[in-house]
Amino acid sequence: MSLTYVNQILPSLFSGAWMTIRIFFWTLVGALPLGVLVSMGLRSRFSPIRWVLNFYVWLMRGTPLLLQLMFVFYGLPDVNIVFARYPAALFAFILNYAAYFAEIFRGGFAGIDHGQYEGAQVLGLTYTQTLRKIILPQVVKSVIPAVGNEVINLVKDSSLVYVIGLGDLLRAGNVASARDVTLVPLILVGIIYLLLTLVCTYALRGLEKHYSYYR
Amino acid sequence: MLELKNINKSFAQRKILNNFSMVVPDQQIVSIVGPSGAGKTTLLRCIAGLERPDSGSFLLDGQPFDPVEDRGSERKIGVVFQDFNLFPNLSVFDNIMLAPKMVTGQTTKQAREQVEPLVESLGLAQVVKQYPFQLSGGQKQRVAIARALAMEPAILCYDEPTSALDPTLRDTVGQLILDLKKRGITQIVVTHDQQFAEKIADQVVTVKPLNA
Repeated sequence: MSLTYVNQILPSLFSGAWMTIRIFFWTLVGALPLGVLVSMGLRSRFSPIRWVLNFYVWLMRGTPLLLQLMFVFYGLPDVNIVFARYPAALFAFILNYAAYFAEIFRGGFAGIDHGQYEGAQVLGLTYTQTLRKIILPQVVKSVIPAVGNEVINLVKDSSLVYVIGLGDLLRAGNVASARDVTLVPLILVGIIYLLLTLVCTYALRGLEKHYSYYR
Repeated sequence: MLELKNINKSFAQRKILNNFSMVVPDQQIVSIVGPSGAGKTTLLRCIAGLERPDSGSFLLDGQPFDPVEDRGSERKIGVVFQDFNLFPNLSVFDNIMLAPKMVTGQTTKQAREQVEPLVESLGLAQVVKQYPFQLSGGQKQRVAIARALAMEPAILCYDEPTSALDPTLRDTVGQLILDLKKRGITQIVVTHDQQFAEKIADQVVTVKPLNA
């Protein structure tokens, strides 16, 4: 593994890694809040909302993300919904991950003792105030480990965007590997993924620590 | 003065309260006693607005009063729950300050001025920065009392105030309830402990299980 060669291919790997990071970041920004909303809808007293959202979760978790990506980019244009590659990837990723997050958050909400709501009610707090100040902070704390799992998965799932022709980290390595007939780029790709997940792991641990001031 | 008139409540065909009536005079302690399953807690939950009675009426100072609609800063009924229901994510101080700030809309400074004497008088000054998980049962209960009193309720209700405490603390909480009475606070105490009830209450109301 000559250093000159490594130096030669690193810029293309980094630009691929940048795409990976962008997809990772914007998927979280979109899917986490959407997941919270969907999880609240899944607990709605209005049953049609529950049916629709359960169907959505079933669809998203029941089909491969790869298929969903292909469907959004190649299928939706048939009904005149045309996405460019990058927005198509974000659209599919956010919808897919929001479904997983919604199920995680649903569990988090279910784990909150009903007494917390009553405690707030007899103090005169509104439902929204109760959610914001009391329920959500506790839900967030309880779901960090499960959400963390999905976050780590997302780093690697982002490699699926190759199927709609986006140049991410894995694809950059693949191109170099095929061109130069060597495994070196793929080893570097592996190392970069490991570094990315390492950063995530530390960030998640920090977050857990941040919330460890109470039990 | 709170008056309950002919309160009825059933759960799934099972009658819990049958034409229940009582009067809670101002600045007195009324204790509601009876065995488990007699409907004491259901009665308290109806008074607190956590359950809607099937029929019957409430009068507060002679005016019709609906506990379920008893909301916001005008809320009249305070509750100290059996297991306190403190908010684990908030410090003792924030547990007590939350409602004065969010519901009454006081500034932090105003709320602090009101809450600090309360904290002081309940002996909580040492623990205001701690979190509920760090407190003993007795401390948790006093935080729950302070939290309810911070909203200046017309009536403070307790659900089984002795049950989560060890026996030595029983007299302490009894004394605390009597101290609050001296400060003019009207209190309703639900308990299965007849002795405790007779010791603290001006009036003991016994509820019996129906069709047992």
